[in-house]
Amino acid sequence: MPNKNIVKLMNVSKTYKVGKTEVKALRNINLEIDEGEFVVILGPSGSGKTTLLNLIGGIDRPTSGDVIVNGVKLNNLSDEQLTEFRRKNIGFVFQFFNLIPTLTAKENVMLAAELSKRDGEDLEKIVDSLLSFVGLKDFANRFPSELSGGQQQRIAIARAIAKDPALLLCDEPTGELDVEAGKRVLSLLKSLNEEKGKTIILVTHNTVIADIATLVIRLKDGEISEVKRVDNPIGVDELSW
Amino acid sequence: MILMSYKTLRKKLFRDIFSRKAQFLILCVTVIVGILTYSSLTMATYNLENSYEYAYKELKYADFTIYLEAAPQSILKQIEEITNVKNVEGRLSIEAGIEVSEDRQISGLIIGINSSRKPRVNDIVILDGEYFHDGDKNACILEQHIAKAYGYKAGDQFTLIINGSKINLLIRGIAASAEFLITFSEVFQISSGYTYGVVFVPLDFLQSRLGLFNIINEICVTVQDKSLIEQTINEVESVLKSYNVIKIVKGEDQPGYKALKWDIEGFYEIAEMFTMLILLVAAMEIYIMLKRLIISQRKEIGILKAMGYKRKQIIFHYLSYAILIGLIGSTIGVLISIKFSQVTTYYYTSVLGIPFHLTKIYPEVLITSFLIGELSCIIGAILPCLETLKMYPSEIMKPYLSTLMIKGRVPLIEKILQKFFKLSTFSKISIRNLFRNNVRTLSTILGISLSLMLIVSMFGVMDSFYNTIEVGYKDYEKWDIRVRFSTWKATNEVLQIKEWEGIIKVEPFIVTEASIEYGNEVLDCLIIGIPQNSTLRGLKIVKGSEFQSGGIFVTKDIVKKLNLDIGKNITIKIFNRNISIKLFGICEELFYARTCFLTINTAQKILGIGESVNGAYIKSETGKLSNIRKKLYNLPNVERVDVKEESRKEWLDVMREFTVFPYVMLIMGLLIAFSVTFNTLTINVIERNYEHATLLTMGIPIKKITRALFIETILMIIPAIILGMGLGFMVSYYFLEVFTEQLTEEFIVLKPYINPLNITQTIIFLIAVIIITHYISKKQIRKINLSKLIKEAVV
Repeated sequence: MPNKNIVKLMNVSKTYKVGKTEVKALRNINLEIDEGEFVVILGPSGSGKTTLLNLIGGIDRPTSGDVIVNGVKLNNLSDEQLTEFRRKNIGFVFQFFNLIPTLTAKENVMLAAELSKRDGEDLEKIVDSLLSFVGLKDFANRFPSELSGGQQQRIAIARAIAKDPALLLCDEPTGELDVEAGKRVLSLLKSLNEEKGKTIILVTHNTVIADIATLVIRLKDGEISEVKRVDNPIGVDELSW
Repeated sequence: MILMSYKTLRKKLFRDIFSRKAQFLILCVTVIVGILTYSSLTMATYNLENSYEYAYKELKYADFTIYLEAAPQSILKQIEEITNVKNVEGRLSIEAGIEVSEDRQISGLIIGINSSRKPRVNDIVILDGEYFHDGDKNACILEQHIAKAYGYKAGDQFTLIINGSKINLLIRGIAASAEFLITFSEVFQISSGYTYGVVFVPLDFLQSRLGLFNIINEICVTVQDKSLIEQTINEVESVLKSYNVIKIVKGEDQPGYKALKWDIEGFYEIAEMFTMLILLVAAMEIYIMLKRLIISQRKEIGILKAMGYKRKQIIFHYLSYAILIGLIGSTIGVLISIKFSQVTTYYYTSVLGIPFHLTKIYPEVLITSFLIGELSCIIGAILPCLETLKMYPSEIMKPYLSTLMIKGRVPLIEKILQKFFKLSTFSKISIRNLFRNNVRTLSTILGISLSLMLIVSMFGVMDSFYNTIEVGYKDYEKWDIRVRFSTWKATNEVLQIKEWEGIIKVEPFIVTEASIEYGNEVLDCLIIGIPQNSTLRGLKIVKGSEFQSGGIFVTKDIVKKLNLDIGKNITIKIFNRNISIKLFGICEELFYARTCFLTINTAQKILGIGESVNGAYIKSETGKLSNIRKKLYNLPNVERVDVKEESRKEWLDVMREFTVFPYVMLIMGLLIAFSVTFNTLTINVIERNYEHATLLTMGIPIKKITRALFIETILMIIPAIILGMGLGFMVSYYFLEVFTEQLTEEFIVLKPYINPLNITQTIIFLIAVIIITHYISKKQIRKINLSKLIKEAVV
């Protein structure tokens, strides 16, 4: 049985106004992503890949066209509705981790878990299991200032999946990490995709990372220049950059 | 290249200011308010002092005045011949009634002065009409307060009631007198002219009406050399030794003079203290703003350092923000203060009836104010600027520095609360945010509490005045009407008033000025003799025996001044006699701190007046007051009739005029409270924009985010309110204790009091500010560009 569409973009364009200048970040994008895919969006700086990710994640609105995620058309949702949509459907992993500095590692994950409205007892267990999943159970009570970049990013991943979202969006998740730490992060994302069936869309300028994807989308000057399906993606251990 | 860099650095300065214009403006406003307060009120104080000193000089204010029972006018020549005497003026003055309308009479001081020439001492300046014509008989000149209260003008008719007889006079003119810039109707009560007026009549006219030809009972003297005044007074006393001298009062000891001096000095002390507090708040706010700015620009600082900018150039760049705030704030503050001080001076001289309005600009005050403003800003900025020295380019340019810089921890209060409540993760954010920047949290609490302190202390001063008057007229002065006679009257005769229609109760009393002596100390005081079981004159005995005959009861102030103890014998000096009497008890008295109480019997015995009194307290039926008053004024030898409600109302009206400037201070306090709260809350939102963006991206609703901010603010406000209220009480107590020490001695014993309603209103105001700021914050959070901010990792 074919996987259902989780993301569908139809004739989507995005134009920004920077002062008096208009910048066409995306031009007439048509795209479909199935559930369970590990998608890597590639492109040089300024190609529109982050903009594309933001539109899918509902943190930006298209200038024209339709964005449908998990069956919900995002265009006409109000800000409150978009916030609710993100709460239920999307997990974000940011380039700069964006952990709340005054909360411990466990509390950062708990913050997201509480949004899913499961009862207290379950939440503790879920959060502990997530911390174990990312290999940081022993660091639960540490604050972000006491963690390395790689550790922070793994906590950020745990936080992103704490709500059990349908879609995980990652914006340059290895951008600030060394190779070792970056590989650990990618391994986690790969596990989430393969073992737990999470749909992952990852934006990067690092072409090497595309080798672990099942679907690679290349952007150039705001347009999709290539869409490539990868039947046998390589393992994270085989990556080298 | 370097020159271009400097210019570019200057450009950066102005662009940074523009991007934070709201904060910058608020800080400028804080400095403006502080400098305006100091500069305008300092100059107004100098102007007022100059105005009234000029008035006293121009109007030949007496250096001392002798009050005596009676003396022939011819005695003046002997006094003139005393070496140090510059000028002498004899007058005859009595208390009498004034008919202001058909059904209303008030009391007044009628002063007979020379009509053929203007007085050589205690002169008057004609504001409307003219001085007496030579030989004027049925004419008068009204002192300005009563004229203003009742709208009298030159040419109007005016009616005096002397010994029950009505005398119609033509108002020749309206005048201001240095003696009566502040008019006292009693030893303690300031009058606006509504219940008490001063009227000048030709001396010979008054002498003939009273059958006291060539008799005077006041001698006003100016001297050549003030340093020899004591000697001159002694010489005058020996000239007058055959005449019954009641008292000699120096010009500087006259109640009106002292009240004026006190008011102006108090005014200045409040202004000084307020200014310092406002500028302290400004310095703290600048500290917070600059610290935040420097942290947010640490990458830029790193780049500047990496480029080769010297430390002092970077420090000076950031110091320039504060210097600019000081420059703008102080300049505008100082410029506005010039006009404000003139307006203040004019207002106060008009309210007080000072006939001269001397205003001038004091460059030294302007310069000092400017420097104080500038210095406060620089002091606030020094520490944050010096912190740029600690920043090394390699460290501060790390991208996720924000999470490294904020050292998270679980505060103690959270650990305590966790023992009793299950705190959600989100609520922990509010609590922990309080401690993420201790200096900012503490300075916000301090800033808000100082603003509250300004507000509460001013309320404390005003409420204490109003409350004292209310309590005085409720618990002490319980009569409806009080009548005083110019001669001793038989008690039975006075009690006959009880038979009049509308009278519920009559209690006779005795009142007289005297001196009391203990050890080597002598104090002027008021002696009041009341029935032992008086219900119309409250007497609060705080120590000693019950109110009874045979002894004296004195106020705490007298006990303190004379170092007395219960059971000691003190000496009453009155009517050239010295009478020893035992101290039976200590009492509390609000109006006039130097009051002594005796039972009527004891007073009559001591004064040797048999069964006579010179006053009566009256309780009347509602609606009968004006008829009773009219009848009283028709009695012979009635000196004055006071209606309690009118006296109370007049006190409150006078206080309202004198409390204009506390209200101005109050408004400034409110402005500062607004600026501190707004500034802090705005910074809290701005600096956490990326965190808010993250939370919004995670799907946390805006309402929840702003609620967390609100909780955080409330957690700061609660200790600020407690601290502010406490400080406010202490400061208002300080104001009442210290700079009204003089006041307490002479006029009124203020009981510290703050109306709970005013406290409530202040807290409501603060909450309103928080709500407004939160509404603005909510709008700011709504405007967050999520897609842009989640890419940033700056604090």
